[in-house]
Amino acid sequence: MTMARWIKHKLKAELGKDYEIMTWDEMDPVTKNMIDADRSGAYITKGILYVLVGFGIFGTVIMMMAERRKEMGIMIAIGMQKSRLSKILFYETTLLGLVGVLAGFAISFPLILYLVYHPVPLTGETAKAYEQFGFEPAMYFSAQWFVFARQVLIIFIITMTVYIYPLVKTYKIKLINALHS
Amino acid sequence: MIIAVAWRNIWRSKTRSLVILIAICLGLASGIFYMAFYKGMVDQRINTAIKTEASHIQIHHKEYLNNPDKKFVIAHADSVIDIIKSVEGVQATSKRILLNTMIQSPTTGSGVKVTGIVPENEKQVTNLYSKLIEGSYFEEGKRNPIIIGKKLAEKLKIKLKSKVVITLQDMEGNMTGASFRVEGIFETSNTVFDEMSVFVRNSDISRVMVMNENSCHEIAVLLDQNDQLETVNQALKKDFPGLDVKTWREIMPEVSMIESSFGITMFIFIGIILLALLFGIINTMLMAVLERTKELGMLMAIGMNKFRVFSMILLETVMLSLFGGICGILLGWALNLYFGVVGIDLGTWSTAYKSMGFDTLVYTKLTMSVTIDIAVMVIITGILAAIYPALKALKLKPADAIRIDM
Repeated sequence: MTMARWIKHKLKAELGKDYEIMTWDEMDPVTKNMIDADRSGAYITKGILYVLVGFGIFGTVIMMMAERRKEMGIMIAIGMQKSRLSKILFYETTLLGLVGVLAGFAISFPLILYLVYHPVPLTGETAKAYEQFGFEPAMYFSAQWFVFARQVLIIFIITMTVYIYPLVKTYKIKLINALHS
Repeated sequence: MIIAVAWRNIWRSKTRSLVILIAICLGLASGIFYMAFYKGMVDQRINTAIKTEASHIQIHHKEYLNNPDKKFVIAHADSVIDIIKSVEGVQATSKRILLNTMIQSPTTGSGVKVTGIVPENEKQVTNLYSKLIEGSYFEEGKRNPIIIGKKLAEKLKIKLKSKVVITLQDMEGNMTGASFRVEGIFETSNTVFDEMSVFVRNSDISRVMVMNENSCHEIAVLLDQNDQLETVNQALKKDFPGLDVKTWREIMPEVSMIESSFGITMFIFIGIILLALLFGIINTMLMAVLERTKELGMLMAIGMNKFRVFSMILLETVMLSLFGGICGILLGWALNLYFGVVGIDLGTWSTAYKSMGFDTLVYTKLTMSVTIDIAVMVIITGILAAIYPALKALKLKPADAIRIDM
């Protein structure tokens, strides 16, 4: 996309006086709009799932903090700084998210890779309707790197948001209460 | 008794229960709202397909749909219509002359589908007259009126009262043409329809084509209710073995597909949401069991049998899920009712949806049966989530559990 824009710019500088130069999406704004509309729908679906994943992680972290109150109390009592403690928790949450993402990849990657080379063909009424809209009657998959990289980034952001909870908790920990819990 | 205990147990750890409750509530609310949005969109599309474009049932000459040639007419249209009208469930019929041809304005031309209609009959079958944004719907007295779509008017650069020329072959194959005056401009939610369809009076076009007044290419049938589609379809098929009787599902397979794939897609979507929630619920309940090892051991030691322990954990989980689920369903319904009145503007994406025939203002819609289905799915999720924690609880040995140091 950006490549097309860039080349258009270059061409325009050279030939712009005599010719009109357009990229495909300028010539066919309806198709471009369809792609965007489809994408925006997918963003909403994914957004909902990320919120749920976020709550899942949050619940786990709450549990983790609750069941280790005593342990943390003892650690602080024998001289561990709170900043170091929260650093440990930072690594824990990040690793938790990362391992989850990697496990998700391990399950989905072989499947996606298979589907990239073997698109799911559509038959009957569905196929006819797809053809009517100008699509090939098959479901294609993509295994480009950014599909995966984006998940890592988003899960990282989610875990960072969730991490606020243990961060605040460790600094607010009351030694006496924690030891007696 | 067990229910009361289970309910109280949920609220022993407020933060934990609230987190999972909010997750379930938000997840389901967004799922339901998304479903209502698509349901509204699909229903509006189907409504347009029936009310403006295809009607419930269309009847053609056997060959016409394979080869839309003007010579494949339904002869004696009036007697056919009389028979159709006698079938139970038929609300109105309209006979049409169809013609794929060229239309020309002073500046440019375009290929269109000309439909010759009897205005007063057509008015009962399709709601095109209500889609007029300018002009009027075949008022008596004017010669050769034509009604065109907004998109076509823009393409031909013409306005109300402009003259257009339709070039066509008459029934003997001679090239001929007639000029028509634009009497009305309509706009539907389907830009392709607006660009491709023009409407003229049946009597005008049959005169130009030198066609028998009593024959037509298509008879559109509107039913009282969509539920009667199959019965009426079968009855008409039996009445007219020589003609091609088709329902809107066969005429517009793409719309029918949107309807049939909608349900499955949405349930998969809700299923994925519930799957994500399932792990959250398992996690919460597992914690609830582990932190109560001592208490559960004690209960077993003083004689609570395994079945009761199991049902207590099960009830706790199901109640937790269902409570969150009900909150979510209520929230989803509230959103649905609000946007069902206000409507959601598709804004930036309207060009894309209009080209596929969707309205750009979507009124959300939900049915009770779908809601109940979702509630059942939530209960099943709760039961599934309960199994592992409950088994964990059953495996506890009272003697060890009591002595465990928490």
